[in-house]
Amino acid sequence: MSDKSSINQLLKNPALWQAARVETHRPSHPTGFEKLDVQLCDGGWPQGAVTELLLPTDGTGELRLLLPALSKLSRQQGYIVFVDPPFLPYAPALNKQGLNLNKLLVIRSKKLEQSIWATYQALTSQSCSAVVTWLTGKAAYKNEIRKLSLGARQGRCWSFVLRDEKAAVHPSAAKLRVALSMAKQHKAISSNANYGMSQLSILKQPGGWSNRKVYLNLFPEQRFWTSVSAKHWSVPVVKQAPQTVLSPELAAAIPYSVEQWLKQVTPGNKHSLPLVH
Amino acid sequence: MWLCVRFALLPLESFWITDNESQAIAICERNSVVCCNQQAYEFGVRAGQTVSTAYAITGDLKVIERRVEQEVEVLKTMALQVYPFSPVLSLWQPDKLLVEIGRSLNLFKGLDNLLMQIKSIMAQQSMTVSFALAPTPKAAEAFSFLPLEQSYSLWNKQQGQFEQHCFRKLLNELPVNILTLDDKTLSKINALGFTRLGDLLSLSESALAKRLGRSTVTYIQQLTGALPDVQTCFQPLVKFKRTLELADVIHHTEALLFPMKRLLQDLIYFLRLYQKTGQTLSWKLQDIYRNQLTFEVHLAESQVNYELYLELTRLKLESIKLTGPVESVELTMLKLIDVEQKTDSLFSATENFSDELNFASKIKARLGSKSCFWITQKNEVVPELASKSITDGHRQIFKNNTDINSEDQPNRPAWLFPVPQAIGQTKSALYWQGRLSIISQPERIVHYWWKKPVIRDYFIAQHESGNFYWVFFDANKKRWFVQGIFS
Repeated sequence: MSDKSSINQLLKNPALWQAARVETHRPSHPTGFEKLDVQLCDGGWPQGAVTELLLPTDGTGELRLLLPALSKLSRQQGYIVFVDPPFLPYAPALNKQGLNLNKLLVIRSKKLEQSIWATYQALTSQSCSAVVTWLTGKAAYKNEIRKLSLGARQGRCWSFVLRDEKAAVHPSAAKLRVALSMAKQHKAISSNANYGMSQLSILKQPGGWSNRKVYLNLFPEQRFWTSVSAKHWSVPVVKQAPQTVLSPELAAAIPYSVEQWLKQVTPGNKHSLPLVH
Repeated sequence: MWLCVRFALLPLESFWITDNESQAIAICERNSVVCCNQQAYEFGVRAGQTVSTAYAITGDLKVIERRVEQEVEVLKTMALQVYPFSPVLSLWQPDKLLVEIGRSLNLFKGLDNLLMQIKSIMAQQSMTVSFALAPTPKAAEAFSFLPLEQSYSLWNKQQGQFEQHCFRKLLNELPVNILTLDDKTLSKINALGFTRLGDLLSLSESALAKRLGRSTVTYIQQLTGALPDVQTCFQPLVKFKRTLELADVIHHTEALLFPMKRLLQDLIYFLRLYQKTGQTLSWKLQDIYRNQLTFEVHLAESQVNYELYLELTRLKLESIKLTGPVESVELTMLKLIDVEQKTDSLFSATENFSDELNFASKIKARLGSKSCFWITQKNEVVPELASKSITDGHRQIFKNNTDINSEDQPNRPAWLFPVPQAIGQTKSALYWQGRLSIISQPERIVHYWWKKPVIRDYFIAQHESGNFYWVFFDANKKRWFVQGIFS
């Protein structure tokens, strides 16, 4: 078989994974969680590639998961960039986690196209070590993630894309796909060894086994919190205000602003509340 | 030592004229010819003739209306080209630049060298120029109507100064008609029978003032150097907007590339001069029906690269459909940003990341200056005041952030709501998009009792989905609020 045959050409392509070939060292950065590093074939978050993190809601522990790596990177050369975070990153918390705030740049865009463009600029700038992008909605974002993969490869930096877990059904060009979820509160009690832990499922990783589950304790300070149920706590209850008597359905429909709320529950139209049946 | 650069054919040359043309062209203003090209001159067309006379001489004449604003723009462009030779430069409208070059001679290795360089730059711009030298600006202006040799011979290279008696002699022989005086004064002088400046100079100052007025005397005194003549210096604007009027309309997009090339060359020169770069080339084409067609070329890499600009413009132009024959082309560069110095390793490309913020300036240029911000921590007890967003001047926050010791900080959520959200409440539980259970001890924050008191009890609450929220009971408003998410 000549060297120029098509199969040899294909074998030379680094993007093609071969089960028979033991991969040589690929650049990565430790996640800061030993249990997770063992499961990842690269031994950490892959460099020069997109890592996709799927979340049920914002605030599932995604920053706790990423911050050990980001903090280490922020102590070296290169900036850390957050593109379109869902809320305002809070400086004291990030500082406590060890992130060097001088290296953190937050970008806000108005459109998806702008957000992808800004991420691509940051990835290829050679000045950013890590770029974390939040994508909203359940769309497939097939081309967008492919573009970011190319950008990450060109800039040799760590790219994280955070999006809704419902996007798991769509194929993605991301090199590593991980779904993060929280152990449910009601699930139950001390018999479950993983209670209070966050569950991490590896959906896809080239050169390694997928469908692995890892349980991580992302909030180690939990053990200082109480496990006593809320009803034993002396929750201050407001007696005078009429809105204290609420059906759970109505309460679930919060948030209301205080002004809005007071307008609705004035004594005159108390019986015409829209959600009380 | 003043150098006068006169653009004799500025009304003609301020139009974009295709090179390989044997068409006779004349520029007219108020029905009389102002200037014409070589072909028209050979036919016998002269400045001052009426348009009908010019047409009578040759029927194959193209007459274009003069555009004075356009000439001023071109003169400014030329001033920019001469600016590197001397900062003392002033625009004498309609068609002259006065440059003080006495202090630039050493730098440019002598007068001959300097003149040659300016001449070659003007030749590149395909402008016809005539030079003149004199110790005063007004004299230089007057000499620019004579051949250069005459004023050049006044300069004594050995001594580095003008020969005063030669200068005086040349002034005396100067024809009165080339002085830039108004027509009325000139006819008055002619009526007196004076033809040479020497005749005027031989009169006493009071006699001159009586006959010709004070302003003429001042002019003559400034011409000879008896009175100082202070010039306002040209200050180049840091802004790029150039328009090229086309002498012949252009019907095809391919042909548009030639004037565009010229504008892009000007742009590159401008950007190199100011060490600026930009993100967007904005083109505006105007057709003969006064329709304006604008399109923008976005540059991903903010580098100064003529080939790249041209290529991107060409690509964009392919998808453009002209609304009519194009009459003028305008190029503007929006939002100029400074070129940042790049430092590279001399030997091998290292794998480390650089600390440059080029990418941030690009993003700011396109998404607006508010789109990028830094976060800094402040020593404040009230949670929402402890974190602050800063859009620029991030170097200053460096010190702030390193001052605060992060080890002893209490547990805080990573996400903060800009405004705390009210929580619904029943007798035994709290609801915020689902049921919340309080799982921590209270942390009381009391502050600002002297102006707007803050009294809050903070708790960590777990949502029924398992997420942790940071909630507080406000003792003033007697309500529960959620302020952050532990993430």
